[in-house]
Amino acid sequence: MRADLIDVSLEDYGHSVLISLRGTFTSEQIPALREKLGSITGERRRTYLMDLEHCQFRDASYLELFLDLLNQVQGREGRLAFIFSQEENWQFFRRWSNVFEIHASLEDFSRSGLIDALRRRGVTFSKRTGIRLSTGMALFLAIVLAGWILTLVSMVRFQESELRLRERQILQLEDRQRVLIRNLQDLRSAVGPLRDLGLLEAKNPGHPRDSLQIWIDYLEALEKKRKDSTGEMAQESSPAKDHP
Amino acid sequence: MNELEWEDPWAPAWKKRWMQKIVGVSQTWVLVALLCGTGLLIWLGVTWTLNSWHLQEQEDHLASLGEDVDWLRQREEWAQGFVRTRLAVLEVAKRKMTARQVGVLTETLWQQSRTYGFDPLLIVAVMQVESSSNPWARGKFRSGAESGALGLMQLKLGTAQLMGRALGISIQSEADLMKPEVNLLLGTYYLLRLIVRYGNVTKGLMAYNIGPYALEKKVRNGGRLPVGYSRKILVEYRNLVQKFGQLQ
Repeated sequence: MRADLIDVSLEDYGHSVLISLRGTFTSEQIPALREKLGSITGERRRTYLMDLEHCQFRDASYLELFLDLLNQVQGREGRLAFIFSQEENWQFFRRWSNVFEIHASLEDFSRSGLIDALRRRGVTFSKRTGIRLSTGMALFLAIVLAGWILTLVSMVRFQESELRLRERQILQLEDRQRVLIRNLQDLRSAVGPLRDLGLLEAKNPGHPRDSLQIWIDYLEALEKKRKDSTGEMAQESSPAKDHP
Repeated sequence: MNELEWEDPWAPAWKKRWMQKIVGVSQTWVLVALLCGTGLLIWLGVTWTLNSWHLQEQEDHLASLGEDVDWLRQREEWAQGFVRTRLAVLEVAKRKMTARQVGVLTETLWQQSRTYGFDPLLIVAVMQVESSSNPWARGKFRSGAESGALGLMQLKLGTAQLMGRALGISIQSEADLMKPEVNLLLGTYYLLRLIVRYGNVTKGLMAYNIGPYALEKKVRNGGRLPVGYSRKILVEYRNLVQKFGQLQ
């Protein structure tokens, strides 16, 4: 191929432009191709699809050319995508595959959504290579994953500390309950025989609380009686406000 | 292909190093990471769920325990007040009252103290000073003539009828006043009314002793107030408190 002869065809679809390159490109065609592509991709907010399926690049300077082109297109708020599936071009763009948007076919491009968006941000996946991430994306994902796991772990840790706290509260309340039952038993003993209060002693009480039941029932009955009579008395007299 | 190890000639050195670094994760590692991640997620999920159940159980247990402790605390407070009153009544009653009378007086005094919020030992002290806790006591002047004061709290029939009307208790005769629980109920109510009226326990006790009109007359005329009576009661009251403890 002569230096000034390059096979470029153009199909304009309004919002998108399909640029097809054919042939083998050596260092001699770089200026011509730069000029040609520069003139084609001059419009703002357009999508440029560059079909590279039938071309080969023999000089690494083409990467520089395409990087410049990508910067220019993005500077005009446009989008640049390469279409190819051949292995040789994959090898050529391998190092920059996280920078360039590359699709195997036009159908693949039209299907590209979330995966493509991820890939443009530095995430690629293929069965052959596994997941390939740019350093920034890898760092970002590592931070997100670590944060997520830390959040879950801290939630569980918080639950566990809450469980321990409640366990302590339960123990304290159970202690308090035991003390109160013991006090009530002591008070019940101090009051003397229950028959002096007109009550019958419980025979063979099982639980400590069972022995208190009659004693507590008696106090509750007195309190109920008091409350029942207070309703009448409260209307007629006011309680003493001062007591020693 | 000639040279594919291309570098951006204008990028700074740190950017070149940064851009060229690609983190590759092979399928095996992806699988291992996925398995570890799933395992961790399942473990966290199961732990979180179990902890949530356990927390709920503990919350229910805590709530029921708290209710029970509150319930017991209130009963303990009642029991303390009741036992303290009973022991004080037993102390002053000695052999002058039957077990049944002691029981009824304790119940009445405890209920009254809960309704009006006073210390029942003060009434026990009044009972002791007024009648030596004798339900059949009849008051006498120094001359030996009957004063008309009857029973435990040494109430006069007229005063008792007046208080009885306020409380809805019918007092027909002296015999009604000889019932210890009725006498105590009316005497307590009368004394508390006087304490509220004068805003002072000592003055209330003096008025209970000589009557409110007599007290007011003495105050008006600058006469000598009967401080000995109230002092005697307060000494008796302090002795009882020392023996049976403060009101909780």
